[in-house]
Amino acid sequence: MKSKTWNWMELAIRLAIGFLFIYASLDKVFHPEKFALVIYNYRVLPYELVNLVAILVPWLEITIGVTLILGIWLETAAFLLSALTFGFTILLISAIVRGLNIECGCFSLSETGSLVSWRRVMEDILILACGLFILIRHLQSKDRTVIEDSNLQ
Amino acid sequence: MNQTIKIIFVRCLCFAGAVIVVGFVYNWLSPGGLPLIAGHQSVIVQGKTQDIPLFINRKETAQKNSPVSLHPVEEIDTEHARQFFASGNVIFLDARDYEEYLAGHITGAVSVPFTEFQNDPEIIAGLDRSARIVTYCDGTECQTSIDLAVRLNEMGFTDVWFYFGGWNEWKTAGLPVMKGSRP
Repeated sequence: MKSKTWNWMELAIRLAIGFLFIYASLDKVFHPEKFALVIYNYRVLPYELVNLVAILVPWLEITIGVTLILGIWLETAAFLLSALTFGFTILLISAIVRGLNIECGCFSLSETGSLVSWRRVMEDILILACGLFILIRHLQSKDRTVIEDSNLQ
Repeated sequence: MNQTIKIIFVRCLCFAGAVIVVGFVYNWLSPGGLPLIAGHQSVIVQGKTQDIPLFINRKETAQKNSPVSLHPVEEIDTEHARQFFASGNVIFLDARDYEEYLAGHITGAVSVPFTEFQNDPEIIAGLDRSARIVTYCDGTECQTSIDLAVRLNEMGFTDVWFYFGGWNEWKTAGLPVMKGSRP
């Protein structure tokens, strides 16, 4: 494929994931107490830390979403996107393996019946792949600039 | 490559800073903001103290400081549960899944599956907050009777008890049970 096609593809992915992340964060921003309960139900964090995570994670998602859409600091946004999604995936798998029948809290908190499931894991892996795709492209372009810079000196 | 890692690291710190500032300021200004560290209610279960976290939002807690609990959420045994049952002045809440409730429950108990209740606390909207409430689940291996009792207390119910022996001990004791949903 031509590099132009790749560029368009990257833009499409960035916009899709960017808006998805902002959408996913809204419910959590408006109902932090629900999100806190969802986090607590994963039984990974001590309850003392649950509220801090519930307060901060939605804003991390929004910041990642906004930078992806605007196209600034893409390597960092893609790195954080990948790291966060990787974390979510591990959490989901651990919840399924431990047999927890709990709300996923992935996108919407109000719709009921959105429980942890392998389908959710697949969605996360897809998002993770998109994150890595953007990350790798921007690491490459950064390296090229760095090499060009050092050639100049 | 080292250069790139450095850039990413520094920018991650900027991200973190921005998220922390915006997150805390929003939480502070928002009417539904959370306390930074969740409060808890200490409950004595079979002689041991357990901390059950409270997740209610800050402003709501401030609003309803008024309804004073008659007593903290307390455990009752089968004999005590039987006395409450005999008095007739009590509502038993079954915190198990609805299927289990259908298969058999304490006579007259109301089904409040804990998972459903968590998603939508409004399912208990019809209950009188001053009524005597006893929650139960399967028995000593389950926790939801305690969780439900503490949540109800947090929501302003003043006379809440949990029957830790639960369905298993009630059934074993040969006390009144029924199947299916209430007519």
